[in-house]
Amino acid sequence: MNQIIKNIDEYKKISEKLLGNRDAIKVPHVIALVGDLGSGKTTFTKSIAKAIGVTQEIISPTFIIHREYLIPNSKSYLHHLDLYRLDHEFELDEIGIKNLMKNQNVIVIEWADKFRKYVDLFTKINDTKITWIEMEYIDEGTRRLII
Amino acid sequence: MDRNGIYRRRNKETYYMKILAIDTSCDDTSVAISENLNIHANVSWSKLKTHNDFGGVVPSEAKRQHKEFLDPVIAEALNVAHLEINDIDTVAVTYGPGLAIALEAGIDKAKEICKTHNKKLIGVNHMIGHIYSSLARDEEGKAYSGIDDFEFPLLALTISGGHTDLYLMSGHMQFERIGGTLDDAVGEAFDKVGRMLGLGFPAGYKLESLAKSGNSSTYDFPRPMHNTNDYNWSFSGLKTAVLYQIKKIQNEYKGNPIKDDFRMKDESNNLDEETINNLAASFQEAALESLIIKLRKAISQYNPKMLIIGGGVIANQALREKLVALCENSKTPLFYPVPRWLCTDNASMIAVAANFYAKNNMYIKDIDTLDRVPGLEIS
Ligand SMILES: Nc1ncnc2c1ncn2[C@@H]1O[C@H](COP(=O)(O)OP(=O)(O)OP(=O)(O)O)[C@@H](O)[C@H]1O
Ligand SMILES: [Mg+2]
Repeated sequence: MNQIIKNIDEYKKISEKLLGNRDAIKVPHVIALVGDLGSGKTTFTKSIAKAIGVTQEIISPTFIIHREYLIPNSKSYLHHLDLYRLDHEFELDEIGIKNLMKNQNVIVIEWADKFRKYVDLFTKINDTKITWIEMEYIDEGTRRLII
Repeated sequence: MDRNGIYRRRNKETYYMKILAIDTSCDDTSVAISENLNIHANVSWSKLKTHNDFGGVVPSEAKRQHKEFLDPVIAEALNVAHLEINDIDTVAVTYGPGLAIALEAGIDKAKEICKTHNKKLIGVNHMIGHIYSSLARDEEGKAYSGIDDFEFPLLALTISGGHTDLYLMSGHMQFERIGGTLDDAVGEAFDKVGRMLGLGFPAGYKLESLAKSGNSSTYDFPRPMHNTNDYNWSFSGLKTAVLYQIKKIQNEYKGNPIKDDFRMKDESNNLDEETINNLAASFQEAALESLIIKLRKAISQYNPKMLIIGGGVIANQALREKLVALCENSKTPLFYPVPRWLCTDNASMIAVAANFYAKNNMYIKDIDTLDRVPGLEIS
């Protein structure tokens, strides 16, 4: 899918399509986000959170690398990661990223392309589903989304 | 030494409690020793030495460094304070927020000391530490920020690489969060804009120094959310506005190849020095003005007895000047930790905050139960 986004409200539909029907899906789901500074990765994550019922404010995880939010009425979590500041694969092990691939967790990873091969390996754990999404800057209010 | 209590009571108001405090939430391995609010030693070790930025923790380094250096840093702190471990009453340690593996190193060490030497344990919220850093005193008991105690109600703002939060405090350890950032923290915006300007990452401190040579009215950047009827901020909108401006300038450079990828470290963005300085100055002006606008609103709404600022961004000189002007106008006493080492991450503020945890009897009853809470919030 290749879509031009002119309004951030448009992410709602995309998130709902991606994650709306969580009950039917029994596996963890990685949303791997690719795009430059300011392309909208965190903005998009906010709409993902809403789509799965997380009501807390989603703030940027760049500094702290990993934030987690309980998905209401479930045992699963929304894990929000940002790999911007990491340089080595073993750092991903150290922050325990593999252990997140369980239950019906939704794992959103900003700057996932820094460790593309490694992130792809997650699909081997518990049948984890993975969706790569590229976000590209077009102009001030416009981005291109490639899923 | 009174072994029954954790402190010796000399008179009603004066407790002489010696605390050894550990903070490993970030890149620094930091240990402090305090007696009441007086700091006798503050020893920080960092191989990374990115002290003046807001960048956060580098996992690969942090864990190894903390494990390797905690013992020598503790030994050095005791040495500076002319104390031995037996003189210490209580161990205080940061248990969040921060990166799990980094926090763990400090917590494990704190538990080990408590068990081996039979000490009490206090787990401290790093952000409460930043708020209480204004109450730190030097060895002679002189307050670094100039206040002896808080007066309530007060407004407390925490500003760092990971946080931008505004609290109303109705008493010691009584916090009500009334606002904060909805996306990027203010320090994070400094770091990321520094990155866009080709200053490396993190580059918050470098950006501040370039801003001094720039003209802050060159670019009219937005103060996102300045009109909203709340105490929230959005710094990602400002970050993106700078990005748009850079793209625009790049497009105006004729004949020069346009690079629109800021990913690679130290990649040139084709901007000349003057432009970079002006962008830095204009961005800084917008970011700091955003803070001031909402603070002004909050002061007139809550009429606080004082305004307290904590966190690495208060090291920014331009911000201090703006705050002084704001507080003079509104006749609100302003306090923040003055020395730079007390603004950025340090264990002294953890020791200071631990005094107030102790007064509320907030000790960890079963030492083994203290666990790191990476996403810890003030509640
Ligand atoms: N069509 C759009 N899609 C996404 N964001 C948009 C769009 N139009 C404008 N914006 C703005 O762009 C900014 C995107 O910033 P955001 O922090 O989400 O980016 P990011 O990719 O997470 O950046 P970083 O690499 O710093 O983490 C927001 O302020 C958002 O409001
Ligand atoms: Mg982001």
